[in-house]
Amino acid sequence: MLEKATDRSYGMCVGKSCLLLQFTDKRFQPVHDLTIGVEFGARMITIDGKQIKLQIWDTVNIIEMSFNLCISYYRGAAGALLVYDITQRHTFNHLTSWLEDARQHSNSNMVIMLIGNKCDLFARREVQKEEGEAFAREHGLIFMETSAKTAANVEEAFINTAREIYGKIQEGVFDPTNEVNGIKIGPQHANPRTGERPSSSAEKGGCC
Amino acid sequence: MSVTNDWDVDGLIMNCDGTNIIEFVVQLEPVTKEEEGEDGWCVIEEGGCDNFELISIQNDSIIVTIRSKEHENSSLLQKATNWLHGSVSSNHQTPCLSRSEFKNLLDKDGRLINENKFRQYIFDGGCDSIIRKQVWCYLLRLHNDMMTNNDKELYFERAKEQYEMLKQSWRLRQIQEDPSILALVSLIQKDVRRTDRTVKFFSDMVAPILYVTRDEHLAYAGFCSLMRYMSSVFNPDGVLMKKRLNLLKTTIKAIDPELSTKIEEFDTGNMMFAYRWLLLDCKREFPFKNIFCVFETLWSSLPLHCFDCSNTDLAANDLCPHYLLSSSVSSHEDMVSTTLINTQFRTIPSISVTLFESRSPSSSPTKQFPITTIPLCHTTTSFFRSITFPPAKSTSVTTSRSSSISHPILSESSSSQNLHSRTSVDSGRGATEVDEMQGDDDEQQQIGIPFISPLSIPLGKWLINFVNDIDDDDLNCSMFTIFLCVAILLQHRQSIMQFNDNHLNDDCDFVSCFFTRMVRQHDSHRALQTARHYFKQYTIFKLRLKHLLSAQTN
Repeated sequence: MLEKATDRSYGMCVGKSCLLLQFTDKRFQPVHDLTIGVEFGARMITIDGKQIKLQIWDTVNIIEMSFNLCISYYRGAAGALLVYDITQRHTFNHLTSWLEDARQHSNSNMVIMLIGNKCDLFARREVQKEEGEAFAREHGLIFMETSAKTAANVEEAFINTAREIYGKIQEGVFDPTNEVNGIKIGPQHANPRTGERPSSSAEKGGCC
Repeated sequence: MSVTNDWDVDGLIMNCDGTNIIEFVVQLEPVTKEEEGEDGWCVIEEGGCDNFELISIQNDSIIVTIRSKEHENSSLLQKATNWLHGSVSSNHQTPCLSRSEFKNLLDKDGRLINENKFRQYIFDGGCDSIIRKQVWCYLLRLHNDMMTNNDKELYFERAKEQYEMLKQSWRLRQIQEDPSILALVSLIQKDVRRTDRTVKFFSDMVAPILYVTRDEHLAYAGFCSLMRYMSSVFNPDGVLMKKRLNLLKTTIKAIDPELSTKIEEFDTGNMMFAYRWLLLDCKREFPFKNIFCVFETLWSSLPLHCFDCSNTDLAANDLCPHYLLSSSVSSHEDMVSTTLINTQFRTIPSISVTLFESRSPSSSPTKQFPITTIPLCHTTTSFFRSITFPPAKSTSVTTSRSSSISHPILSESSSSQNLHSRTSVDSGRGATEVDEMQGDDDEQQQIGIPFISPLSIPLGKWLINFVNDIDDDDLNCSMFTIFLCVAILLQHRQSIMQFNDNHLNDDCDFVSCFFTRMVRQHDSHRALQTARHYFKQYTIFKLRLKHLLSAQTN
């Protein structure tokens, strides 16, 4: 009976905040406060010997937030993690509308990573890995299954997204001098090893 | 009336009943040094007389505040003007309203004698947890000042009946799998499971109310009231939230430009970290045990009508007393006191509104503070130009200099020599205090004093933006929250100012990450003190503005 109810597009606990916490703090908090508005995390990573700072926005469901907020979420984002819960089919069903929304408001080059979270709960799996892969292929996204609880693939998900963004910078797709793209070059003198430093809202977590 | 010499002033003061304000218009005539003291006037020395104080407002008007006699409580306006000329220090923590004090505020039948006084108490210091349930019933307008103990009992009974009925109908709809109810149930369950787990099974805004009332139906009724005030904040169009965010930005800029610049520099999200603060009235920013005092202070600052149901939205699923006690919901009607049914609920203005109205010459007939003469002929802009704020009286300095009275409003130009020569002397002293206090930051931090900075606040310039919105409800209902947010920011001023682009390995060097991690960890006591301080300043400014505008239209 309640399953029907959650079929509405509200209150999805797919684990966005937990993913972020696992990535920034390397810990798992089974019950997390319901996110209101947006919460923030940041971490330094190294790709090809270059130090890169990721600033990550942990957002509420797109559907729940107001229009104004929605616009500022996307502005200046270089990448997005689109998260669904493999144990809740309806979270997967909403991916299409979220994707449309994200593409409409963001930079067309924004890197989007599709994440099937809670893969430790394989016994309760409702969405097969193949379905996720197919969806990602169809829409040109990168795909991974993760578990914020066991930390499986969490590092990889964020780092691969950053790597992809970095690749686009190298290819010249992103202009790192234009902050609208969500990328900011760090001061060269401050850290000689730093080449490009996606800093300004490099990644923003998102949800269906 | 015309006052020509000291004796007239004495007479006026003697005839004052202790709650009045006398405002003088001074006709300025050039006086030479030699003539001083020969015209029947003498300058009243500070401390020479103990029941009144003078402050110069503008070049041609002076306010005399009559201090209340001992054992007599001062009026709101007195408190405000006392504050205005610096005699109320912000370090002085008003004790919370105790049970016996609260009892004294009720008449023998349980009616609240003076709602404004009651609200002022709560605003200044909150209340004892023993009486919190009753206090919140008043603040959330489940009780009003006309309700007797019997009325209150009856209200509780009816609210319970009505709530049980509502609950049954929701249950029924849930069993019938009504999709809208099912969606709500699931939404609520998620909310409840994931917020305030220390206090089991509640969600953000209802949790404190349920904790205080310990009563499901009262919590529901209180929550309905609260939502009358808050629903527009939650409106999906985001209009009010956007307004609040902008207000916070402009306010912090006006109060502390340096901090504002630093935040802009290190916050890529356009102050989005404050979204939750503004949406939930800072509910998540303080430890749960401290949120009660925060909420009651905030609620007592709001205009009463925020919580009242208007006649148009009397919905059956709302438990407002107006509806429950005047409708024929049950058959106890004869028990309701007749005044309650027949009288339209009197709207009692908020603290700030009271101040405005009492100062406005064209105000309601119930004007409490007669003003002898009405001064002011300046234009609005020049009025604002001429205003500087007094050095904030924060602890260490105040205690050591409690004898000095600094003039809050320093005239820009002084064409008189008489009283105004004193003003300029004091303005010099005020400036020195500012300098000294700004150098005292470290000392202030050490002894745990609310950090109030900077000390001279160009709020006037900022407030002029609101000349057209002086009665704007959104503004009136948001300002305390805004100041609370400002207070939180100021609490962490030192940390924010130290943010440095070179801290590459520190993953918290952005303002937004910093505040994400500070959830429920801010100091509510200090934040409230700072917020009260600014709110009073804001209130006085609005009062002056309103007064000025009405004087102009006359």
